[in-house]
Amino acid sequence: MKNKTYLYVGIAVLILGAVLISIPVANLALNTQQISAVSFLDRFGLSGGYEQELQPGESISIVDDKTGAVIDKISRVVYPGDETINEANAIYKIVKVKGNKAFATKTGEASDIVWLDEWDTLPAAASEPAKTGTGNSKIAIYYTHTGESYVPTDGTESIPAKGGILKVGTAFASALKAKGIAALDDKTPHEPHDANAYHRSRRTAVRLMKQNPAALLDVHRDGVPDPDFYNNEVEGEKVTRVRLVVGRQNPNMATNLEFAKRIKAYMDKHKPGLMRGIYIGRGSYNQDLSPRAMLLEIGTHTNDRNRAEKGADEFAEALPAVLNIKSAAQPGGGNTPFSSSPGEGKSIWSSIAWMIGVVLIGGAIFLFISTGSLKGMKSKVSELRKTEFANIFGLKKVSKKTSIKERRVQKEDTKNKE
Amino acid sequence: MTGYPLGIVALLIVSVLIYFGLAHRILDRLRISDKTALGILAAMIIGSFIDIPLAVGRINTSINLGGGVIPVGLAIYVLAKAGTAKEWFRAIAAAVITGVVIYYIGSVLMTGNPGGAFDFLDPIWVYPIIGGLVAYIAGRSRRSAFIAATIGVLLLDVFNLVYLGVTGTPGRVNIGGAGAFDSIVLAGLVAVLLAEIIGETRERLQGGPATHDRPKKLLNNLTNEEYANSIGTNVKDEVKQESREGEEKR
Repeated sequence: MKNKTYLYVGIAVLILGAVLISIPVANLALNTQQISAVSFLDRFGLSGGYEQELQPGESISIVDDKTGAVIDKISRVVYPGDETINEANAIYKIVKVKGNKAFATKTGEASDIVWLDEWDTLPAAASEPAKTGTGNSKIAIYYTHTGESYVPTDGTESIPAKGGILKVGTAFASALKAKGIAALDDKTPHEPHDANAYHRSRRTAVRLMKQNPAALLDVHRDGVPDPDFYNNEVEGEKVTRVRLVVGRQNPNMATNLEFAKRIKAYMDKHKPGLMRGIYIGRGSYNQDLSPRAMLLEIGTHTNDRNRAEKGADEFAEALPAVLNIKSAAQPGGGNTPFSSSPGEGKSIWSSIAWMIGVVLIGGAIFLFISTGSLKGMKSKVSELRKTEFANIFGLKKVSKKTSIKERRVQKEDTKNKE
Repeated sequence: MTGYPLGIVALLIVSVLIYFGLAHRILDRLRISDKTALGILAAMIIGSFIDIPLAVGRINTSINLGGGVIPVGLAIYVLAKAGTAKEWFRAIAAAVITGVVIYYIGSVLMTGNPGGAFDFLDPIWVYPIIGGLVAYIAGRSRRSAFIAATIGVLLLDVFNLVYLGVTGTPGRVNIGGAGAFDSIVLAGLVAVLLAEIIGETRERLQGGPATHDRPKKLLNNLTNEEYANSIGTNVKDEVKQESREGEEKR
């Protein structure tokens, strides 16, 4: 049959074509990106970009498109539409990427990154009776890129499955333990260091979530070549700073971002100088799993690991207060719900509305395609109500086999009446 | 969930409801009855908490009941129910191609250096899109899309196992370890959705499913009352007519 031959040849050509274009386009992609109407698709992850890191030493400088001043550096593939919030809470949106330079426009100030004095004095769980022992006074940490290391101390930027990042995580966990908070420190390796690593670490993340932690942190280090970009002093100690990364291709994005802002607000007040900023990039980083999931970049590969450990220590020391969790041993500690800031409350409802909206609009479009008319959509919805749901909830027992006949009879009846 | 503010609890409940609600509708498309689909989802959720250890040399390997055994079992069941030997072959070929392509994209193209033509897509979406497209091109079938995506992502874990074994890198292979939220399950569901959207659009454009000159067994699936019911039309008589005509011509 001629058609079949055409089909097979077509498939072969398609596959060959895909392989061929993937090679040269790999180099082109970064150079030729322009802003496009992609923001709607972003949340589906359909329009591009992903949790791509560059090789250590390669980084993108984000510059102000008006002044040309360097605002930020990052060792990730950046895309138009990504946003970065710097230490001073100025929001920049990337509009163009050329080579290893990204041009960003200042879009405003994140005035909601503020920690009010009264939030420090609020009694934890004022509305809840004190409970001890159980509950989510736990913080979970895991490492998608278990090989990440710090060159000056570890000798190399990557030690597969045994990277220096694990030691930074240990420092993080022991600082939490010192505060009486249980740290679920999961050092499961996810080698090799590629994009599929997030697919593997997803399993670790879910395993940790089963233990009901108050927050789920994926600990990384950056790959920006300049060590001073992360070096700083906090409370007289030499540390590396910490950057928060939020994936915008995930349905929880608004709530994750609110969580990041809350962390930054608290740290800016109580550990000034510790936060590098918040980067809002493409990808989901498994943050779709929880509104309390966060990716941390603790220093970069050219930093001294001891400094990174100190940075982790400072961060971990302050984190329980952000989450309003206390040691189970403390009076009033243990299972204390942490209240939402007004911003967070809003973001949650926006996330919910977004998800429901997508389902409704998507469903309607699909029904329209599948039935071809508004009338068809209507009849399908009513059919759904009559058969599917009646069947599930047992409200009205309609056997599917008879339903078509029944409906036909009903239709004829109504016709006869007319 | 104790200890979370009300809003977060609501957000989690809504997202879980939407996820499983969609999953239920999608399983329905695989010619699985409502109640069975509900049962499968319940088993997946409970199974998410059960890891079955596998003995694969020194590498810590396990398969999760909800995220591994059930979806893969379902794919095999759907495959076994496939109408013809040709559909069988196409589904398996699509699964292998999907496995190789997503491995190539995720582990070769998306390593280290910037770019990679496919880094404009999040792997979690790459898997089902490749699976759905490959299966649809190969067989234009929703069921085959499910099989290709599910088995394709499973192959990704098999490749990782081989990688760890060959290079001696320490690691853990927890197939379907994220349970009902694992990429294996997500890939299968989204692939069916994609095939469904492409299929429905195409069929709409050509004015109904192609019935002419098709094997009888496949056409029987179209006349399946439950399916006819679910697509809201009664194609039964139309299809019978067409297949009779086809036979006469032959």
